[in-house]
Amino acid sequence: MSEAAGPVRLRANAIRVGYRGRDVLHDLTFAVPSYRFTALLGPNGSGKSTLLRALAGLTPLRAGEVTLDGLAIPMLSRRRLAEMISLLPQTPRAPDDLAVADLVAQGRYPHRRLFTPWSLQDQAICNDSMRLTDVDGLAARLLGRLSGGQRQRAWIAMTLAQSADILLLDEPTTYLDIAHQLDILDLLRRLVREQGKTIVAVLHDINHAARFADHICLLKEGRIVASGSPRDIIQPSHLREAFSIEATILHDPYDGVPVCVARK
Amino acid sequence: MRTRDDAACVRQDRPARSPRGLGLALAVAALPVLALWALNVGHAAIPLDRLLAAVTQFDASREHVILWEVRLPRMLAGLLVGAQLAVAGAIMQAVTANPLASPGLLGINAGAAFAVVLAIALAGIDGAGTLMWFAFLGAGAAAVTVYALGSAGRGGATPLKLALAGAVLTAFLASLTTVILLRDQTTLDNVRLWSVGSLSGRPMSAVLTIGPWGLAGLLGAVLTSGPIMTLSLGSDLSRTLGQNLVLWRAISAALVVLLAGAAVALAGPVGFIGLVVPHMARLLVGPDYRWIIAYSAPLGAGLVVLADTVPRALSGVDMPVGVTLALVGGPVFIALVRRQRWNLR
Repeated sequence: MSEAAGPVRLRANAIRVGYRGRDVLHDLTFAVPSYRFTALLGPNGSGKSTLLRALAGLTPLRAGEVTLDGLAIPMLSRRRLAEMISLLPQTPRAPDDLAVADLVAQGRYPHRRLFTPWSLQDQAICNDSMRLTDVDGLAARLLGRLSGGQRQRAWIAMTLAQSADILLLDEPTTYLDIAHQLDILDLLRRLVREQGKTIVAVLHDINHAARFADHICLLKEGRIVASGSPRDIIQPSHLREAFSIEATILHDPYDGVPVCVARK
Repeated sequence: MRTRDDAACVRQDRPARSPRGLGLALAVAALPVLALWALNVGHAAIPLDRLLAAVTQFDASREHVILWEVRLPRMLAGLLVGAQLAVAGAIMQAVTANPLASPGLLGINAGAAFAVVLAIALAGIDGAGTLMWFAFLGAGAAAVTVYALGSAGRGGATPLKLALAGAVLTAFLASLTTVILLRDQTTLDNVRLWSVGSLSGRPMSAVLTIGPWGLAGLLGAVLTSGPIMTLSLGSDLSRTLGQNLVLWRAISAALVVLLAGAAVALAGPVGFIGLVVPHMARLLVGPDYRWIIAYSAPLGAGLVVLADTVPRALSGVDMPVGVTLALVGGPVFIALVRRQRWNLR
């Protein structure tokens, strides 16, 4: 795993995050593997989304720090941060009558200044983003007229147009049917392989993580239970610890990918 | 790809850029025509050739004086106030993600009017330039109060809570304003101006003093409409897109205070424009606030001048523009509500 991964750029050092009286993350330390697709897995309320938001600098920390290239995130302006990290929130919202191309164009925000006109380069990057996510044929289509899968791909196109190296996605496959889920996950894997992106995504389906992610980080109650390659993590003992389930691990006869069958 | 049926029932695609630009050019081009008509209509109609003569060969005749001292400032004030309130409403709707946001409903106009009335009644101030600063102060204080009231409790500043806080503040300040006005025994015209908004009797000097501030606000709104569009996508997205949320919210609020404050200082709390015009613009051009703001200015300007002129043209009655707009704006607003599905949460 580590042989081809570059130096770690984004890192959480003993971060503690809480809402009101309750701590959601307890002194959690996590180094985001560069040029990899990392899946955050864990039961509801385990702190997956909170970790993702903390990595994006969207949540105040009670202790510890998140660093990007060695610099603590509060040292960077929001704009500078946005040039390097983009985050797709869990249920992003935009007006139904906004066109796909107009949404994607918003991704260029951190690269533009108040009085610079829209450039050919901005347009080229938006076009590339829409092509990669296969929404280029829908550029003029209004968001409200898209299927769930198309809409999610339009949102991913917007985050790509941001030209950040690190993409953080909060449950990008939730509410999609199975074909669209596989579609999105395959897209994420391709972005890592072909575009050299670093991706961290909160996922719910253990088997999707096993199949598509390079790295899995298993959370429970605000702590990391296990972190490593899918083969190391998709183990009955880890799953018992994180999800309190009894699982049998099979292997896909076609490609050997671990498959988790939960029994109880 | 797109069938006739699709286009007929629900719009599927974004309107192309060029019709939006063309529509804007038309809206702006219609303003001078409307303005000439507004100059023409009154107790004594002044035909076009004599309008021109008043500019080229001013002879201090009664007609020329009426034109320069009464109708021209009134028309200019109408254009300014309409554009300013409409653009202020558009900014407020973008920033608060609240379809009900407008300087009228959220109490900004009432705050500005109250401060002006207070300054007149208690301090005896009457210079338009000084009163304008009281209007800014009142508008700013009202904005802060409504936001603080509206974001108290669980869930933060939801559209509904903001609208309720605005309605409460408006009712409260309107009654205080009325109390002061009734005690003060000023002329009926003044009461009218500060309780419903009116364009009549505004001297040219007031227009020239306050106008530049309003124009500066309009220019600022057009220049910052890009970031305001990004702000309208919500705090999470705006921050991940690299927007300095605090800074841009502050800039937007300052623009609203400038636009609405200057408008109230000129014509009193004219309602409905700030609420209805941005929605009309949105129906025409879609959700992109760069276009909504650009369209709101000429539409608002035109609508106020129209509402001020039509009663004069039809019946010769000089109805305060605030009253006309409330009469027309009510039904228009209901029609707009019925067309849109609003999530007020």
